[in-house]
Amino acid sequence: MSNPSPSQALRVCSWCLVVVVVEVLLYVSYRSHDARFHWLTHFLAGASTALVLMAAWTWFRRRPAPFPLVWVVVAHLFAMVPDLLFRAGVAHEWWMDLFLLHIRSHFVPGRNLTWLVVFGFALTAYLVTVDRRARSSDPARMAPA
Amino acid sequence: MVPTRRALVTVWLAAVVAMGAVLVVSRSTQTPGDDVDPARQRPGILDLGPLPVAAPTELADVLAPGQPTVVFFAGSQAADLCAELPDAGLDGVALVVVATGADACRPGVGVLGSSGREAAEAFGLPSRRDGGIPVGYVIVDSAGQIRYRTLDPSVVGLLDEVATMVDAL
Repeated sequence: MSNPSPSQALRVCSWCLVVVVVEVLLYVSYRSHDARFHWLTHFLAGASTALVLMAAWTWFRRRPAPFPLVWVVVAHLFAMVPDLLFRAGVAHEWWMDLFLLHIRSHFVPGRNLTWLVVFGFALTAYLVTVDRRARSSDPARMAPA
Repeated sequence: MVPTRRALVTVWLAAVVAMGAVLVVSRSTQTPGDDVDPARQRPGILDLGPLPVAAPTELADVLAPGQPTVVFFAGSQAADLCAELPDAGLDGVALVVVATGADACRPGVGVLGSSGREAAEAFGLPSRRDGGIPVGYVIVDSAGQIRYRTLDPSVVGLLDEVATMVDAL
């Protein structure tokens, strides 16, 4: 595979920048110094879910998922819906675990370290799927040398 | 176009190292006044873990029977807390401040003049990371049951959260 052109690289970087800005805003939406724990839990849970879905998408479509960072942000937003509701004056309830185990996700043994491991496995699953499944149908692979 | 295998490995390493760094930063920003277990601090849900449990009978005289009560453990923030409580949106709720030097809260707010360590233990408030005098609050419902308890070193600036939790009773 040839190196990406400058325009491709810029396009990727612009997506990264948008995602970073969105995540900073989500982080700021938590108001106190202990917020990082909650932000990180829901980011890792959301990102892990997104990566598993992206792996499934790649498996069936035989190409990498488009806009991967958008999948991650959307899943993170979904996971933290109860926290947005809390800012609006709605206390948490157990049914809010529908949002990617919003409450129980904080209480897994090992806390966020466990979620980091889950994230690592989910990322591995996605990248391996991209490598094996998408590469098998990559036209560039079929091109003559 | 499918990325090279080296690019995929680079992505994996960059993402995991970055998130690991965020994890380390999130742990390093905990303060001595925070809960040993960050999951228990400001969880935002009633009846977590062993709750509800009956409020300690030896402190029954600071509670208001038939009315929800919020017991604040103010530590050294008593003066600031007392100044904010009238505008905290906690009408119809009995308020108790446990702290030395909380006389400025009177009238209208019950005051238990002690450091709060023994009362905090009686209410089952979690321990601070440094073992110091806890800052946080306990919500007791009108039936005398403890429904919510948390450390919150920033409670003075987050009184609207207290009102949210009281509304959920």
